[in-house]
Amino acid sequence: MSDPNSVAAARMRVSASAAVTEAFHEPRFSLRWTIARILGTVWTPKKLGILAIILVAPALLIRMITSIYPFLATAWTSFTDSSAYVQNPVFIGLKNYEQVLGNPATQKALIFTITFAIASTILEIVGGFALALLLNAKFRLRSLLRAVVLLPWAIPAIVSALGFRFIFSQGSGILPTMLEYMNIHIDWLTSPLWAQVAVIMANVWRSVPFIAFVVLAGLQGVPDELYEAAKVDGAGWWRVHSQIVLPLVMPLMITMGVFMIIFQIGTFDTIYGMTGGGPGSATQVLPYLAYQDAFIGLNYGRSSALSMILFLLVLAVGVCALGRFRKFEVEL
Amino acid sequence: MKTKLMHRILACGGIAVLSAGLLAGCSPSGGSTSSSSDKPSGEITYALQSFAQPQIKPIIDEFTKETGITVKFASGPATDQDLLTQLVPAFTSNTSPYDVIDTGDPSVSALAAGGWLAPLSDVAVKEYTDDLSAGMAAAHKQWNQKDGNTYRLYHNFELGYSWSNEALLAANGLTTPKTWADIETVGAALKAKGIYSFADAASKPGLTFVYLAYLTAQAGGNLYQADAGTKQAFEFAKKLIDEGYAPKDALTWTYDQQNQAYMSDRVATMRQWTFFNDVAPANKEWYAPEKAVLVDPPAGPGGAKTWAGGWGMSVPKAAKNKSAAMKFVEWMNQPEVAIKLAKASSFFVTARTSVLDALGTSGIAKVLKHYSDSGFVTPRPYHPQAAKTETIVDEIGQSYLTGQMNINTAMSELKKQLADLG
Repeated sequence: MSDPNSVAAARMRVSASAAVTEAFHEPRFSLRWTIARILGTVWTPKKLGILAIILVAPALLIRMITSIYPFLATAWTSFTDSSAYVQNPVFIGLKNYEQVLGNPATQKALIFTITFAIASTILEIVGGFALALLLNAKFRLRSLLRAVVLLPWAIPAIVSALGFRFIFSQGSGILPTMLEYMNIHIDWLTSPLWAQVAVIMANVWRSVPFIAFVVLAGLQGVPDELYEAAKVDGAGWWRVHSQIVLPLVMPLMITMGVFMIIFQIGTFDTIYGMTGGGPGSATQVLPYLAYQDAFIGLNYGRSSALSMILFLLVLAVGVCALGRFRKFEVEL
Repeated sequence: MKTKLMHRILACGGIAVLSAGLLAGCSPSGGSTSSSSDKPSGEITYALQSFAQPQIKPIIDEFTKETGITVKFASGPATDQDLLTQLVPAFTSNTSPYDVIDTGDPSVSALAAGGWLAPLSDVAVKEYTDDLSAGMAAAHKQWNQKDGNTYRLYHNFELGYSWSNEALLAANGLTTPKTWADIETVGAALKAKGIYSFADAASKPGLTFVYLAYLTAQAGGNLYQADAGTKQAFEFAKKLIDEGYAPKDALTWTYDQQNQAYMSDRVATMRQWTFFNDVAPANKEWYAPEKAVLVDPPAGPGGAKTWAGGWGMSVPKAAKNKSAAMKFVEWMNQPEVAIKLAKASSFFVTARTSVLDALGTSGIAKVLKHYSDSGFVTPRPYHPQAAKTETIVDEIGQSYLTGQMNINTAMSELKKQLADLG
């Protein structure tokens, strides 16, 4: 805080004092009235500090209750043998982590979680960019198409997952039936590899419109003069888009890519609704394992350890991606 | 001035506390819903699977008329895993959206272990246990009781029944398979026509366990020991898929999809729960009695077997109107009410002596009696952490059946993961 006798401080006191005087005319027991009564009319830097704390406290408190406390509680639980079957949980150090990381199912789920997030993100970014270019073009019924394209994003993930479960279902699903007409037989949900492809496809289908609309916003920010200048220079469609448009929207796409990877590391509903992690554990992801340990196995210690590993994974991706992003910005 | 302010704040605080107390007292759900004489009253919420609600509504109305307690239905989860997912978070924060819940075997053992269920009243338990047949009494002791307390009363005692489309088999010059070898023979004969000789939906979560436990019972094995019988059962299940006698896609099927396949004449025989007995006749275009014949389970190396499990009523410890909930469970489990319920809905058929005596000469109760008397029924494989162990069987079973691991790995992994649970 600056010198209490300075002109600025004096001005602040006068204006604060005026505000407080005004607050005295507020309805009794309203927040402003109460604060004014508590602090009195004479404003000092100390009192302003107290006011600042009072004003920030609710938000801070809510943040503490909803984020920091659960995080710390989860971190602590991961070091205990807490479960529905243990009356008094005790500290067991890193045992849960040893168990979880030593389990082949976790290792497999970790690999698929990363594969799922990266593959989905790449396809979403590529698909989203292509779709954005289409939506940015001038043609009749463009507004209608934009609305239709956004529909998958508006459908809750669990609903689309259940829908895809039936679409991919052998015997009754529309996709295998169509492929059968072309003499192509794929065991979509009973073959480990194809089940992985299927869940990624379903996830991409749902997220592409979102990416497309964000990129579309970026495309609309590209000045028309740039296109015109490029045309005058004789640049074709491919050159305009690869050398002018793409670099301009690249920061946006990288930011979206980072967000999508982080979101998709935490994917649960698509897997839950479509395959339940199957066949076997082929489409098992870490959040689903954590869910199973917490709500089916009622083993809170192990589930918390899995959640912390998931958190560290997201953190690592976030930090790395942010670092790369900054580097890209500087180079750009 | 400061003193005055303090007085005002205290006064306001006092008024607020008083108002809150008065409001709580006035609210319909606030405070106890029991009267001063402790006679259960008010309203309770009963979470029951939706399909059974209209069927038993008239009986519930009788209860309301007799006791003055109104019962509001809520749509209860259809699987144990959904039930645990929905209710454990509420129970851990000592609240419950329901006063009475319908629980399956694995979920009741988990919820009782968690200390989230209230022990049921002695009156209800005594009248109920006196009415149990021998097989059901054993299951009741195994699943519903813990440390001398009873946490659930079965209103449904399900067997995996065998259905045979005898019309379809006869049209192909075949008869219902009676053994595992017969299933293979029939499968070989029907394969070219795109018909499977046997099917059982085995998707995750939960259904793979149901199927493999069924085959393990027929192999005479113990699933949680991963013994020779278990190995035989797993190998037989894989053989059926590999040879094309059972649909591989059943690994992703729900029971509705299984029924659909059966009623499309794509499956000749199947294992299914009681509810198919209502589903088949409802499909008027397809149904004929000879298309859905209840037959004996096929015999494996351990004999013709199936296993029994069930759903029953429990009262959460955090139930808002516990006394009325207890009264409800007590009333619903009286022998004469159990008979009415069994007549109203197949989801309320049990192997209680009263029910079998009253209804055991017709319908599904007759088959239940026949299965019980013939020694076909084995108990559901028990484990104190059944919800988790069934998940383990699901994953390892599916991994083996889809070729992600060989039989020896599957058996050793099953043993290891079960041992890790302690």
